[in-house]
Amino acid sequence: MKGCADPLGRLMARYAAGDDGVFEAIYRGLDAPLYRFCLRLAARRHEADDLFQETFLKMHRARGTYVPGASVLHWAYAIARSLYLSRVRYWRRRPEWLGTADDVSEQEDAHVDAEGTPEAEVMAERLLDVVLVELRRMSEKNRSAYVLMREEGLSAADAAAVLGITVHGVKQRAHRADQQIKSALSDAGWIGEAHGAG
Amino acid sequence: MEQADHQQQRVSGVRPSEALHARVRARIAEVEAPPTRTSKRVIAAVIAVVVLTALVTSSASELVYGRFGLGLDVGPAEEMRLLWTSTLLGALTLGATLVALWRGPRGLGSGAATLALTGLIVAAAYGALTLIRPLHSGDAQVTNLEISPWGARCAVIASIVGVGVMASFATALRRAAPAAGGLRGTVIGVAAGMWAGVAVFVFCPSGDSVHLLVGHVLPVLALSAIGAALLPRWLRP
Repeated sequence: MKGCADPLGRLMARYAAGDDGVFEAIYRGLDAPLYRFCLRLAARRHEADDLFQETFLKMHRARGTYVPGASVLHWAYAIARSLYLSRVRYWRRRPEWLGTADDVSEQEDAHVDAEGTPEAEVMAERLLDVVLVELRRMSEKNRSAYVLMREEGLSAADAAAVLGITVHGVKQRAHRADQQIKSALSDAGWIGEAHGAG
Repeated sequence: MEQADHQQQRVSGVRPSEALHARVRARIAEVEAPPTRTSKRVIAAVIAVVVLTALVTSSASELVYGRFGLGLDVGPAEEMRLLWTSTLLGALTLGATLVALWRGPRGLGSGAATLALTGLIVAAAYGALTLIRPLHSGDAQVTNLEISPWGARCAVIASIVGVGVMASFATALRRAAPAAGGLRGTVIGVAAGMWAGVAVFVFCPSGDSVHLLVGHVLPVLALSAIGAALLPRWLRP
């Protein structure tokens, strides 16, 4: 526990040592960002729910492997992504389990807040539609890099460690994702406004 | 793009439902998770590996040649070569072991670039060290010994040590590598191969190229391939 400044890290170190009483606090510290990440990885909301649940189960099973002082959230991201890739491999071997690849409407419902002024809200939702559909379309590799760096704000080094690739590799993937989203926004007639907003 | 980023931030309000929270709690309660620290398992594994290598090498030496460390027995002219060869072999073995077992400040192990470079450099350097101008190529004493021409005996010794080392390291790192599992598995295989290489280096006084290729180098490559193929699933949480 020495040298562990992050409160969540201190809690995780206690949990790793066998203190089950701190689980709720760890859950509350991780649930929102981890769930968001699971939603981005999985195609449908119920899959994201399963992924989220299994990630916590894997964290529980592997708690003895947690390194005190390490970021619990980044460790959780790495576990969630590893789990997701295992599922993708499983589905590839059993294509009959795969649903429609572009089933995003359910997920969008989960993402869009109901607040905001009507005009701005409609514009924002349209823009968000384009971005979300494009995120769904892009490869898992580029999407993970984009989500970790652009949405979750991880540094290239942290994102590379989570994804198990080089720093150069993660930058390249995030850049490709940027280009793909820019291109989609341009095709949808948004790019001028997006630039104007900058 | 900035508008897009702004919109992306709107997902920050999304949280898992309370029903999902209850499901997570229920699943966790069903599963026992002993809090044995990986660091303790790693220390135990390293001790086990040193003991196993020493035991197998000494028993095989006594059994086959009647004395320990014939591979280290060279003429006075070759003593310097023996010194730097064994130093380099030791450094490669320790380096591969360190990189394979390193947990790092992020707790996700060595980086992908470090793993890839280590696997490549260590395997290539070991191959070159063993096959290019072998230590015992000009030994007169070798002619009096009965050494298996195809290196089958060395391959068996290397396999026993290598598989034992791989099993020890894999057990120590069970569920501890959520990222770069394939590369980590490969480097564990390379590290296991290097310990096997140390064992046959100490045991065997052969300078024959075919023997060295089959008995000393191929087991290392095979262990690396086995590590890459079998370990990732075992290492993932």
